[in-house]
Amino acid sequence: MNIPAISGKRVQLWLGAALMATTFSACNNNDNTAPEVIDDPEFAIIVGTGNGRFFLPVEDLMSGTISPVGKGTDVSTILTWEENVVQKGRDIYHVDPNAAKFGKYRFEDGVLKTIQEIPFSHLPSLYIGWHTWIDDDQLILGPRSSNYYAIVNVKTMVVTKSGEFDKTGIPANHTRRVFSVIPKGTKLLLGYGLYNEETKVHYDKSYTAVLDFPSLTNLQVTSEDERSAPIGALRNGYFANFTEEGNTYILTHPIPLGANKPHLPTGFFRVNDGTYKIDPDYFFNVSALRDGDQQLGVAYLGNGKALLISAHDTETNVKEWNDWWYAAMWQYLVVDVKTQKVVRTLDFPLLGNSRSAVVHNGKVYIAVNDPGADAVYIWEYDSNTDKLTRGAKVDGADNDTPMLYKLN
Amino acid sequence: MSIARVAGITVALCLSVVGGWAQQVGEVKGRVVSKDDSGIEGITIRIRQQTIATVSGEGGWFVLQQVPYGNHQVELSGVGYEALTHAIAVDRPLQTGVTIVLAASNRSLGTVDVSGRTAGEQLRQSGYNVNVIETRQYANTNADINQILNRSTGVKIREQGGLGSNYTFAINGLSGNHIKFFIDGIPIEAYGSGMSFNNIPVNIAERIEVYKGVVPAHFAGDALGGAVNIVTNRDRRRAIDVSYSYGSFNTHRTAVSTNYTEPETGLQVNFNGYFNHSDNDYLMRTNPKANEYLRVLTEDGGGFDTIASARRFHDAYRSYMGQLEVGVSNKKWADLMVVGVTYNNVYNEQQTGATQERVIGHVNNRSNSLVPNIRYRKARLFTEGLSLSAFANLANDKSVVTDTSSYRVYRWDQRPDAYFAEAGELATTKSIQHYSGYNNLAQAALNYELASDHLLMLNYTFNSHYRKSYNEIDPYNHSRDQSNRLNKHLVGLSYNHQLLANRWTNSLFGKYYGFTGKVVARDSSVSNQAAHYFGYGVSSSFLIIPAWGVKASYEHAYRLPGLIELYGNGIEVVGNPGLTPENSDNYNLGTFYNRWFGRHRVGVTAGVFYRDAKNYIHSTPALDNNSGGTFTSYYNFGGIKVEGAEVEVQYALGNLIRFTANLSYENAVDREKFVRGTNRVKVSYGSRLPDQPWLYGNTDFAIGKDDLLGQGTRLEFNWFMQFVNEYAYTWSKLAAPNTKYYIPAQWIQNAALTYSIQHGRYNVTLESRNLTDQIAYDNSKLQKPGRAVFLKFRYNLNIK
Repeated sequence: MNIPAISGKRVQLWLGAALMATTFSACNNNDNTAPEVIDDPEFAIIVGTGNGRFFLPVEDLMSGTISPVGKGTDVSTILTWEENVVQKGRDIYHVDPNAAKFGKYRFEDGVLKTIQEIPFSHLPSLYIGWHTWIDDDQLILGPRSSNYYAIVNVKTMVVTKSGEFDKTGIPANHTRRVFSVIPKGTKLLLGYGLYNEETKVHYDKSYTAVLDFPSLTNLQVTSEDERSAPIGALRNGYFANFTEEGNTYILTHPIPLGANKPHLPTGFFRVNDGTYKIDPDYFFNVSALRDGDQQLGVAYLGNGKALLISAHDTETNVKEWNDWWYAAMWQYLVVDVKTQKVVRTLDFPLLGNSRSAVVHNGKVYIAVNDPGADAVYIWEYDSNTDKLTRGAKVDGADNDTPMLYKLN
Repeated sequence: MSIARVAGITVALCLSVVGGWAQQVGEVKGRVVSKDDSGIEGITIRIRQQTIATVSGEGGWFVLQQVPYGNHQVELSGVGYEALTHAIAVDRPLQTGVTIVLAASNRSLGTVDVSGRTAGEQLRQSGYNVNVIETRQYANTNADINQILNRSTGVKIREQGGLGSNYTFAINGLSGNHIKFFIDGIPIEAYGSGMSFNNIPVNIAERIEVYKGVVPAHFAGDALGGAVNIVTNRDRRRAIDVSYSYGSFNTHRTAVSTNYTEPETGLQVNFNGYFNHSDNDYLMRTNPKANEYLRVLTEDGGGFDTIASARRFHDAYRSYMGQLEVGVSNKKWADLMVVGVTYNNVYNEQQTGATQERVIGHVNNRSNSLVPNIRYRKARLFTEGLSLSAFANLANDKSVVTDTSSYRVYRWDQRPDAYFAEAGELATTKSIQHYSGYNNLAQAALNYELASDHLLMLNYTFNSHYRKSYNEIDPYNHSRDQSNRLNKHLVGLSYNHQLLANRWTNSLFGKYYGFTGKVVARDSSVSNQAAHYFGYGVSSSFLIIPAWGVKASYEHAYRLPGLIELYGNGIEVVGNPGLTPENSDNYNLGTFYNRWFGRHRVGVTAGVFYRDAKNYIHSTPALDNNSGGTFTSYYNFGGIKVEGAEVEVQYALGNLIRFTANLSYENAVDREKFVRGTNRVKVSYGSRLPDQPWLYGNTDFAIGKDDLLGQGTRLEFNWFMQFVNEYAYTWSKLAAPNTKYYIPAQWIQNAALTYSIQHGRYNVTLESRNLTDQIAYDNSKLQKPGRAVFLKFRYNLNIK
């Protein structure tokens, strides 16, 4: 079955997750390093207006109004496919599938400036499905639902390596679809699925494999699991994995906005410290705790807690495809992978699909898409005090929730 | 049908028409004037005891062709004037300087009688906001229908490239599917996808009508913002128009239009055909002003170099069409009944994607359509005053899009970046995608003259459309293959009357729009849809004095969602069966003035308009998980309001000078106050829409002299300029001003020199477009051709 995809406009919703994934993968890949204390953090936001998207500076997350009138940069023709955006600090990277180029841009002085653009045609599809920072300079990324990859050194702006992952473990007339690429020491952990090219069916199974890095050789299939699929995010920008106390947790995305497998539950697989395979004794079935509702990843909050957004009663609320984005049916959940419980449902009315969030000093800032409000507002949630506080008003936002970025 | 067969038919018809003319004949050229020397248009001039006749045109000028040598009595008649018989003697190939003075009829004293006007003039003075373009003035140019229309007030055509390129057509700020196109009153889609205003040569058309905002009910189409109707050359007694042009970018264009009617038997044959070819290999150029750069890879392949220019290399276009009709006329049971068949064939290479940053080197599209049709016309059906016209056709439209090259990501130096053995150039898998569309149309129109100047018109159109597709390389993958049927029923009823001795003309009309559709969903479940809507409108015009009038019109119009919008096309468009029709309230107010002062004619038309279009159907892009390519779905959005004004001034000095200048202003703003489904006020609410021209105009100047290089010759020079003011690519008020850029103002100059002999029978034209070689864009990041030169030969003969 073909899987409908999110629209280009709506992909920006994933960018916050990209940020979060970037932020937390960076945190967790450098295990146990103390977080840097930033006294004067800078934030930025991309606001969609229905015809054009604008990258804007944010003076204060918690007060005033953020507006694209006369400010920022129209990035509609720069960041042409929002799902292909990767952020690291002030630098924004983007694969332009139309012009076949990889660009490096920097947000400073309130506008987005072009640093360098290089040809980028190393992948059969330039619609990016996943990315991971191997180190501060090396970015590995690959197309959606594909076995290809490319590695870019963003300091020298050179594509250092590209090709297909070793095909070990792929049966005849099948292809591999990689959803997760997670560095673990000198190895890369792959989470993937198998697609039968003859029957046009993507199996309801999750697979893992491990391979050496940087040689990308010695691929070994490590596990196969049918409790949920796909293992990881279908598109670049989903928050889908984090490592806590050496254990790696990977969120599945069977929701129709992901792999469109409504009969499978959303949940976390665990790959235990020192191993490269799915723990057969662990599966945190989030859907089972929410009457079958399926979820999307939003952000990792620390200490085993993650922020998800949950689609409520989709049988009633989804009448056509756009309702997955705009119908007021979403709830924010704070879940704990250690206790395998939903510890908090944030006190909002049912929302539009809204997954924009940044974490700073233990607090998460969320751009909340409440159709009943007079604007999108940024809300602060302090998980220590369980307190929700309304902050800045975002003027002019369309149905696609503005995406927040933390620049330092 | 092969080109050879089309050519064969053409030649046979040409010979059959030409073959009957071997006799000693001459031409009579003259002018019909009133007592104050004003030219009178619309007077019938007939040679007694002959079948030779014509109607005086602009300025009262007329030409009688193929007049046998000898003395003749010429009868002149026209409503509003006393009939007259005038003697002439023809003893040479050309008889010129015939001036005939007509006296106003007593009956018309104190009244204005409009029935003596030409069809075009009657339309211009009707209550509708309509541009009527008589194509004869452009017949010697290399233009297609779009290029003619683009000179007209309120019309903006935005082309993506050269000959055969995609385009969007806008009337008064409403564009795309909001505008409907007709050929002789039949929706153009009924002729298959290959028939398009960007490939129909001007010589096929006799007249083009552009209805802005309000569309008469006899065009049973669901037009939201207006309609364009081409009236083709047909049903003439004996006529032939053959032309060929060659020019820049290896562009060849041929057009044939011929008619033959046998007076005794009523046998009638019409043939229209054309052939177009262009390599479209025009020069692309880097243009920092428009933020456009042509990039190629550095030698090591790791970076970009910018080059000043590059030639397009994969943009060839070829199309041909043949339309043959055979039938009878003037029978007891039918005034006219013909059966015909239309075949068209298009080959189109794709050079760029959505912008010129995406360069394509191999993907192409082939399509052909075979369309049999029948039409019937009968006046005095059963009773005096009742007439019927009917039309039906079956269109089978086939197209193939081939994407099989493993070489991909071309740059402007014609070199590809990459090779992926299993991929196509655009998608991650190879495809030869076949589409087959079936469009059946039946239309009937009943006119009943209740009394003099009171006319009731009823029009019904049934249109049934379905479509299939499959991938030749992967024929068993039906994951998004669909074959849904959409049936549309459109009924128009109008009541027209004329009051105050025809000075006041009114039309009231109502339209019914109904559609039913069978939906086969992805899970193979079948459901049926049905909905219907009612539209209505009114138009009125009043002649204050014979030369000056005012007009107003209004319509509450609908456009039904189309087959692909509702159900997708099986490849790059995913359907949305929940779509509802667009609707719009359209208002026009205008005035017109047209008068001769001796040999000087002055014409002015001016108007203001307002459109309130709601529930817009727009596409939004998305990504396909399997193919890795993009696809779109259509959704209803808020819509726009457009207010604007337009003015056109015309001046003519006899046959010596023609000058036209027009200017159109449109202020199209976002009409939706709240973000859909929320309480949030849109930041763009009330702002002018970006990325569309809002001030544009044309000037068209022609000077020509008869008999300058010998009797029967004419030398004419034409200079034509198009102006589009600078406009913003995105919302003007948003983003820091120093980060924005605008599409610069454009002044495009075109010129043509035509030499005609034997009173326009043989013509040769040298024409240059974009004479100053400006870098021109209709759309951001899609450059149009630079300077181009064409030479056109045309043979034309028409016996009324």
